[in-house]
Amino acid sequence: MKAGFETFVDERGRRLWRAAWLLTGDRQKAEDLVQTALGKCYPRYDGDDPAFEAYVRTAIHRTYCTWWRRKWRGESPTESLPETTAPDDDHARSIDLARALAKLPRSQRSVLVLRYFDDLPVAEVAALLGLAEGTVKAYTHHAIAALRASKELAEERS
Amino acid sequence: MNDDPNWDDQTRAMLQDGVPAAPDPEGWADTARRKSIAGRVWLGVACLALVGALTTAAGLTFGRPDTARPADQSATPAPSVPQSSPPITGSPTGMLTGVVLLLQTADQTAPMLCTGVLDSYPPQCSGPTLVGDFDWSQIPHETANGVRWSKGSHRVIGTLDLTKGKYGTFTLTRPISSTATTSDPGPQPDLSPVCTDPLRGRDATKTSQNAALARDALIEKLPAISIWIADDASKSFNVLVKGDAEQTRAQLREVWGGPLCVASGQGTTMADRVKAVERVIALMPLIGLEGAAPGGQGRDDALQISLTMPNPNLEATVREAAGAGITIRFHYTYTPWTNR
Repeated sequence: MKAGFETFVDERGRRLWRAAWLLTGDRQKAEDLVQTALGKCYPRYDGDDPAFEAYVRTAIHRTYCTWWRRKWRGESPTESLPETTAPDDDHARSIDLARALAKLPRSQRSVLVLRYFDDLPVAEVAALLGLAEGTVKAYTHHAIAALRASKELAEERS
Repeated sequence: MNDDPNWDDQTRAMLQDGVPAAPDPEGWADTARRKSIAGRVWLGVACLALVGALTTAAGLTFGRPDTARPADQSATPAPSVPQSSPPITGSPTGMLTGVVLLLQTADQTAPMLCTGVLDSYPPQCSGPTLVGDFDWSQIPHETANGVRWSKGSHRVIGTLDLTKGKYGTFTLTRPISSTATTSDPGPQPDLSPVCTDPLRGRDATKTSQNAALARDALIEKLPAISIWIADDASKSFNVLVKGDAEQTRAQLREVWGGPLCVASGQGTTMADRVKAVERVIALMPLIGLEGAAPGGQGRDDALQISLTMPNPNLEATVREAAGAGITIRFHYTYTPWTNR
């Protein structure tokens, strides 16, 4: 085991899982996604945790897209609902969020997570996803418009 | 880019607060190490990185490398997305040529040929595996972290079989030239200005970065067909819009005081083309379909679609997905090669 890698995972794994959950809407898929990305990136771990976290974040989004490409034909928004645990307000809010996000195209979902969960600037999101900055801005605009119009989140707001 | 900054904060809060508590990552490090040893160490092409051709609100880059024969095609009606894969020609009958970067990761036994490359260090990409008479000593290259890649792009000539391997196999029929080649960017858009008086109504107090952002935000709400910076001395910001050009100009002048030209035109709006791009991307994965972008540079309102090589079945599928009234320009990574 490379020195520092276990500490990296302990300290940053949860946050990476949260971003993966926003992409997949499912606890187990999020864990699979993070572990797959960590596995892909492990050989490149060199102790520089901030840089490595950025690297793993890139791998998470790219792996997510790869999975999508394999599963897209059968997948529909209802198939990525989170499994139920103890019902409470927080859980209901999570389900509403997952449902609203599931309706977004993957491209927009990725952009939204990178901009508003990871708080990355437009230029960095563009570089990470290989998009033009104008495209990132357009996707952000469309994603937020879709969330504003989503009935799941309207119920949350009311 | 939203007109309501409160929504930026609300969105942020929604995402931060809506995610459930993460599980304990105990064991993840060990699992990652074992997965890594199992040899699955490569980064696939991000589906979003396949949106190759670039447009930005103000900056200008056009096209992907290796565009050789863009074909102007008009879409057929019926924008329904096909439910099953159309027949795709995986093995072309003739020889192909393309200008590509060569890259080989530590766990690979042969290089890949790439066009869309992530600008990291070392770079990342994916593409067909190279087969044939090739050795890294033949071309200038760099090495870092176990990754080897060519310094510059090289012309390859051979046959491509997309049915073999993850991204196909390219078999060389001629040695690769040791000299890097500048790929032909294809026909360039007409970036001349659409007016002769870009300084009319100029306001030097509204030329800051914030003013430009406000201008770009307003453009997204207008039926803009295309936008570009003129390539003449004026460097004016040009907009081709559906409807009244003077009214649009007045609206833009309220937020932007720099050199500005607005003209009325015919064609699809950028917003419609973004939706068409999403319909095309929804087809993926589809062998031979590499990327889609909304276009909109110069007076060109064509969707820019990147294909591995010319393929009438695939092009028909893409046209159907893009929808009625959308003009499409196809770009090919590999084109037929004839021995001259």
